[in-house]
Amino acid sequence: MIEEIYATWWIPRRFAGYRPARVSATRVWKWLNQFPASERMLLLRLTRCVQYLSEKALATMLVRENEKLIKRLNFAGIPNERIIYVQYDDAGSSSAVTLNLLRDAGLLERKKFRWMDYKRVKDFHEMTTSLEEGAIIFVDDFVGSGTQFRKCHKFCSPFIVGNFSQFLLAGCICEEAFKVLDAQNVEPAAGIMHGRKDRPLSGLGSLFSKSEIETLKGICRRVANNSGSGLGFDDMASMVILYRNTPNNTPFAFRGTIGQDPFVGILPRTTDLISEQQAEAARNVPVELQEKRSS
Amino acid sequence: MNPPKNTTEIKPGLIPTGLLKRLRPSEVFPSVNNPRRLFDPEPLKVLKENIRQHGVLVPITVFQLKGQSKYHILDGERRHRCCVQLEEEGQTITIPANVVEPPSRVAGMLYMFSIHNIREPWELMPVALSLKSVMADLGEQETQKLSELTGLSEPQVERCKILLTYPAKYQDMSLTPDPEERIPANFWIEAHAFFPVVETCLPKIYRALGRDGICDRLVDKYWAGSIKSVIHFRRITEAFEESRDGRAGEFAKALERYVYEVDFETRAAFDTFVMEARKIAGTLGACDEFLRQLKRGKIDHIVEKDEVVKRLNEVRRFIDKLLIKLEGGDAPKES
Repeated sequence: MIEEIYATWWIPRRFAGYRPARVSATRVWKWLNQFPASERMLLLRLTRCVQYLSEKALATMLVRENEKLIKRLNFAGIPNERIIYVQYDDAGSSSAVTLNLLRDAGLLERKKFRWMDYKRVKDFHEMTTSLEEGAIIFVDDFVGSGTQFRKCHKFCSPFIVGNFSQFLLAGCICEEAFKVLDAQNVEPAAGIMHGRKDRPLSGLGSLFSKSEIETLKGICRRVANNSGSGLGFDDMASMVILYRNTPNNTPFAFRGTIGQDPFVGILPRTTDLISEQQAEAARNVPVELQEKRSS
Repeated sequence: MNPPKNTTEIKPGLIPTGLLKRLRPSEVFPSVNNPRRLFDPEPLKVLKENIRQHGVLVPITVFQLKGQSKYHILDGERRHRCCVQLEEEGQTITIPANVVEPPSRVAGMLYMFSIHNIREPWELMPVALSLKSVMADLGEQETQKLSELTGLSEPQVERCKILLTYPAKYQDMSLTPDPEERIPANFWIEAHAFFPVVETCLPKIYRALGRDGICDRLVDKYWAGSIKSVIHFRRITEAFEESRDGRAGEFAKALERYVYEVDFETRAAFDTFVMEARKIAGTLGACDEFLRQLKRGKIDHIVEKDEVVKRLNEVRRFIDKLLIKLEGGDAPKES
């Protein structure tokens, strides 16, 4: 009980700035009380394993990794004028937002880099043809399985002409994406390389016993309404969460059910919220959730 | 040990001698070539066993791009693939690698064309754009010369050139990332023959609308579902040819209606002019008869074979060209 009360203090502070739905003490309390007492401590222990990237932390990480990469490229003989940053998704997506974040935090505008949207393939073709050699840096905040990146890269890569070393710069890249990047001849550069051993529910770590892992997986399945394993996309059970949104490969125990009914989450994805909740979240008002459980 | 067959043929001048290094398989990027063509399982198995016993005896050729720690393969994809598999099985293995300078821009594009020859044939737009650069760089416009330089077949070069005749706004319609919103590149290639037909049969309308105006109408029809398959454009050309024997006026009326009415579907418009079924039956009959005659002739062991070989090669060249012309069609749905 004391732990649970204490959780309503440290969890909101831990996840301060989480955008889709503010993590308030009320929300934490409601979240915990959905589960029997025997499960709550396990969930709190699992929550401590989450790596949270606030906006500031992400910006700092990106700037640091970017500076390392640029230094390496300059040393290899590639000046800033031959380095192209690329957003590989639509405007408003995480890639576009992250690139803007990096551009502002790293004061990149004045450093003569070039910028490209992956969809503008003819411009991409023209730019790389005229430069002939250089480097291309794709940017994102989080890369899980690499599926989205592969799709976008496959689309634009035939238009890259000349000798361009390619990199994917991200706040976090999961281990599963490395093979995908390798197959696309792209090198990763990330603040966090999120291996399977870092994910308690993968069974490869040692923080939880086998039976505790099975209990947690059962919770995830229940919360996901028994539609799938509840461990997130590709069953990755990723434990890295970003301020802008929870990745879709995060366990449902944190996210709650889609529509937040019957289970609410402390860190729901934008798409896990219903439209009224999304609107409230956008106004940054604590979301008071109605009791929707049928008697 | 003989070098494995089916390695990428490298033109002289692209691979100067360079530094020889021993690399771990993980230090080399896997090949971006189409795996289905290069990695047929049986020959790969034989190569892998050979490497397991003797190691890699013939160095692969790699280059390293500035700033990257890994190497790119220029030649030796299959040897690398086998070494990756052996390493996954627990064997410690290193690969001798000839490290050379990265290819020049033009050489890189020519290499990309050879990859295109392996990949799916409908990814034409990036090839067309690169061909444009090659044409500008080398000052070469002739199809045959471009074919020799790039390794693309002459029909493929012709198709790329057709794509390049369209204004940018139409090319861009084939460059959208979302396949649901993309018009396939072969739409423009198949539609290319439509414009001269309109110009011939409906000169006033052609002058009034212009090529782009007619093209806009074809795009509207495509999105309206009135062009169910891009191959149906061939039906229009065929109908035009067939209608010259006394049905030209009727054809012109159908064509005018087809241009102006978005919902007027291609086959509904022109099937009445086409005698495709008879042509198909005739062609199949000719093929059957040809094979029957050859088999009956039992010419496998003839002595005076020069003229026969010459004629059979002529037949083969004709059939190869015909098969290429019969290619094309709709892009398959992307998954």
